[in-house]
Amino acid sequence: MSEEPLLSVENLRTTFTTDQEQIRAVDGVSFSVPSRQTLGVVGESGSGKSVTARSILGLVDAPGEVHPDSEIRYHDPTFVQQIARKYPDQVQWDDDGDGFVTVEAGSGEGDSVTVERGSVDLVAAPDTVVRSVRGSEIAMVFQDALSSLNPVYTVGNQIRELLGIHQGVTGSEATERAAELLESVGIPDPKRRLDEYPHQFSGGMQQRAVIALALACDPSVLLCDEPTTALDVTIQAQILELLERLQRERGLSIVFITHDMGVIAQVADSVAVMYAGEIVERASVSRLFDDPKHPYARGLLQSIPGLTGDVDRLPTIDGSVPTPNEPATYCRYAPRCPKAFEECETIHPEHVSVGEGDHTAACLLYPESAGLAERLDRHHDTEETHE
Amino acid sequence: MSDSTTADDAGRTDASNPLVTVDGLRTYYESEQLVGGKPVKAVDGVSFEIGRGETFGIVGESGCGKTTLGRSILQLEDVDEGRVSFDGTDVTTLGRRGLKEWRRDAQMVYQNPMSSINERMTVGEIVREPLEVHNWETAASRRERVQELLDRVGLRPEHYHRYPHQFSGGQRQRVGIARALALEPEFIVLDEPVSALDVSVQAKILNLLSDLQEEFGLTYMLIAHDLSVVRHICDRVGVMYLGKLMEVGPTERLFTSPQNPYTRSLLSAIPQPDPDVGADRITLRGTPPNPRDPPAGCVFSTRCPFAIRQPEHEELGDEQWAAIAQFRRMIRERASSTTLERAKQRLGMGTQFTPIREVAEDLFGSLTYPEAVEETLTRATELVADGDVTEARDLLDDEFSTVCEHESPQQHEVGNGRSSRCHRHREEYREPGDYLRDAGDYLPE
Repeated sequence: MSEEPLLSVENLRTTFTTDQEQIRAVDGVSFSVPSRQTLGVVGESGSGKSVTARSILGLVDAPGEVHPDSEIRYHDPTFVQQIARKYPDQVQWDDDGDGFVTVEAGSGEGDSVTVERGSVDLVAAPDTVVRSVRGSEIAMVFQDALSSLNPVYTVGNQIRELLGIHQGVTGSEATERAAELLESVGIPDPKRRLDEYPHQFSGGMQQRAVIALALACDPSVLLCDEPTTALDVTIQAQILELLERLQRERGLSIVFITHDMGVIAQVADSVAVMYAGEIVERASVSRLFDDPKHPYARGLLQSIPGLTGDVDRLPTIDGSVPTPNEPATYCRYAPRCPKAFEECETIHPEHVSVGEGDHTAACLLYPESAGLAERLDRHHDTEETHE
Repeated sequence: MSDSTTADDAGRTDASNPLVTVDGLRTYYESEQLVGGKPVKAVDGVSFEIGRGETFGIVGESGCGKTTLGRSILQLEDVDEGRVSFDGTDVTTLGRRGLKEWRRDAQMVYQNPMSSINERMTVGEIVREPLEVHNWETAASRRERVQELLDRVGLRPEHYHRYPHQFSGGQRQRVGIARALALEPEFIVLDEPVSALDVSVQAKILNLLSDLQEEFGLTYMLIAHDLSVVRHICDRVGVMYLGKLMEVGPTERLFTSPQNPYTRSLLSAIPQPDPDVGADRITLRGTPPNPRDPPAGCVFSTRCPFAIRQPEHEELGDEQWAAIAQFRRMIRERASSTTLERAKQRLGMGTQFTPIREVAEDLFGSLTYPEAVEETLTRATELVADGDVTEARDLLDDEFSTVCEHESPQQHEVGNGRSSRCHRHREEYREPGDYLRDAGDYLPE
């Protein structure tokens, strides 16, 4: 994964503050999505997967808040150039400055600047910029298709509306485009379907329509939040196949959020395993399944029924996912971890390399080659430099 | 799930002495329309047996009738036809009092137990309720019994006075299980007991269920759409599609060498938690048909990748064949639209169909067909263009339909205690497995 990322997230923190406590739903998450690849984000409910996706699109509502030190960078050069021209006083070359547009390679200045490599930080950028990203550059597909569609408008009207708002396409041209979109997501007889209401579509069809809506403005990144969880397995297979084809045809980058390890194995190129607001392991899909390192990732893989074959009892993970409501000064998995030792409760593990490629795990057991004292030191030190 | 036998052992339970025998069960839901409505055949002629101490699984996609089947067996639905005998007694003929007595022995665990009970009751009251309904011993011993049950399913004594909303999903399911166990039943229908739970919690509930089965000698019928859960916990499995049982057999054999085309397709659609598994799965086209209007022949015929073809079409490529199937589906759909819809369509109001010539061009444009087939397709297209949708449908039926579309297949014995409903098991046709081997290897494993 040495390629340039299209989307990168650095130390993302999203908190929800209530009268009683502050919940750190996403607590220092970093990852990047290379162009035309799929990043799988896997974890149990409450691990912060969905909040991560919503944070990227600025869809977190009060009392939720994305911490201002977080960075969400979108790297598409055309888009960066467009924003750089629009906000010349926000442009910083390399990293020296406090503008939200970073140009790493390019030339010129003011409204004739050209950008070859750079990024826009969506956390620091004003709402208008985030809005121009949402839908047009980065689009989202939610789990529950029916609730993402408006029940009182026909499917065609909803697509036409979107095309009108985002691209100024109206009238019969919009109808034509809408039919093309439905056809591209494998809905037969699209012209007829345009005049139907969402409830007249089957579950799989609805999800196809939602994907068509997400693709209407030709985005480069698709965030899929459990898009197949509510579907039957044969329909799930159709939707996964569709996403694969669309990715190939349109060169999409996909962030695929799911709790299903089977789906991850099928769609992802690389995987981030989340637990209680943090990423505990990052690896290519084959590394994760062949040689999971973090005890949580191991436990998760082992508890899948049917995989372990002829065992009478499934290995389980004791306890349940804690609510991350205090700063992580310890390993949040320690209370459930079969391998936990004393220091797990006082030292927060940092990501260290655990194998080839970008395989990293946040666990005091690693790096394996080092002795205990050295390992503890290392995790301790990294932590301090972070503050 | 007993530990003394291996998963491959078909005869682990006493098959000669089944606890539950279901014979030709039919449950129809009447149409809401006053005249001319067709009933929904939710369960349509299902027969199987469940041995004592066995876990029998029912799998299928949503809307296939698996929950209705479970509810029908417990007499929670009015059965239209067929028998359900429990320990030799036909429970479909029981009166009110008899049913109440019998229900001590047969309980159900729901997917979300909290949606089916009063949230204003404490957990203790919830578990105690069945004991009260059945006047179980004295008040004091009921209380004791509830404590014992809570302990048995892994809840703590202080949970007695808590309310369901204070519990996590896994704990709630434990409450549901404790309630089902209260009257010491012999048989429990588990309706998607773990599908709302995270995988690590799911594993704990599955382990609990298997411990309880061993301890109390329970017989389970597990209804699930998650095939990996079924594979883990069940001794035998029945695969349902549109109200019919397509295949029944011992779990491991059914999973490793499925005989029925639907079972094969279903299994190959499961995403394997292994990135190295190739993508050579069978992806079914379309969605299950409306159960109000099921196909005339085999219920799976509209989507079956193994469907029998007329001899002159045997040589057609898969892509060519799929395009024809898609074309026929579309025309069938149009033919079944109401007269009013079609009238509106003619007048250019309301629903707009994609012009048929455009459809045909999209589907067949890049493919080549033998002359005879080409001719039929063109004629059908012209008929639709002239407004004779029904005639086009009939024309295509004449040319392409086979036994799969006319006749509902029998249940064929396919060895090792398995049976499968498919015309391909008949002598004159190639077995699904052989057909597949010839067509290129799609096998899930």
